[in-house]
Amino acid sequence: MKATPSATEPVIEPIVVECDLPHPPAQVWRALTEPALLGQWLQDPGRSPIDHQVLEAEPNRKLRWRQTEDGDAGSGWRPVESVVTIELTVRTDGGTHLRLVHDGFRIATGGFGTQTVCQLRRAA
Amino acid sequence: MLESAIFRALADPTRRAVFERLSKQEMSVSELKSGFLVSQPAISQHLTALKSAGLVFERRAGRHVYYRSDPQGLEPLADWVQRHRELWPARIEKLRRVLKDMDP
Repeated sequence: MKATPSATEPVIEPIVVECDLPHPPAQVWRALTEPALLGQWLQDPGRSPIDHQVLEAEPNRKLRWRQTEDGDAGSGWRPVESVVTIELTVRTDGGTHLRLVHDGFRIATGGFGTQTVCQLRRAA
Repeated sequence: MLESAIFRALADPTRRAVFERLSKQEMSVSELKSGFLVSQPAISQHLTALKSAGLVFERRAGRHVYYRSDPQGLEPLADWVQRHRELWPARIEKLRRVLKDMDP
């Protein structure tokens, strides 16, 4: 029988990604929010569409969404929910610094939400 | 820095103790409460947080509600998360290409 997790350490570390993009925040914002553009980079080939519901949006600055996607053997094949938060800051050269945090991982308990704003399709 | 919902859910020592107690045996709120000094509303609040994080599951039987947790449920997600850690760099590269190809 496995021991319960240690009381003092985080159980699952959030995923943090930071990068600099040579495009202004307003353009990056479009790529994060227009479904046709978002589907071209967020969607992974060979995986089911990600179900995505925007939780918070401050144009050109901050975006947060909850996504529900296929689980695997580990999740008992139940979908996994998680939250993605993206913050954009303008750089002195006019480009954008993007910071993305992916966390809030949990096994979806109620199936797909009924308030989905958009469903991404696999890019053609 | 954002923390995962699971980390937040287990940060409180009483909440961790609730989680651990429920991993041994399914029980109702009143049965659970008998092992703690905190009030029943406080226990209910901990249960709500643990349910939101997907760490505790509820079973209704008539007017009774029973709770249980599954400590092994945390590990499988760790693998899924690790795979996603590895997926993000490729997504960012695709984002760069999308940005390059789109109209500004």
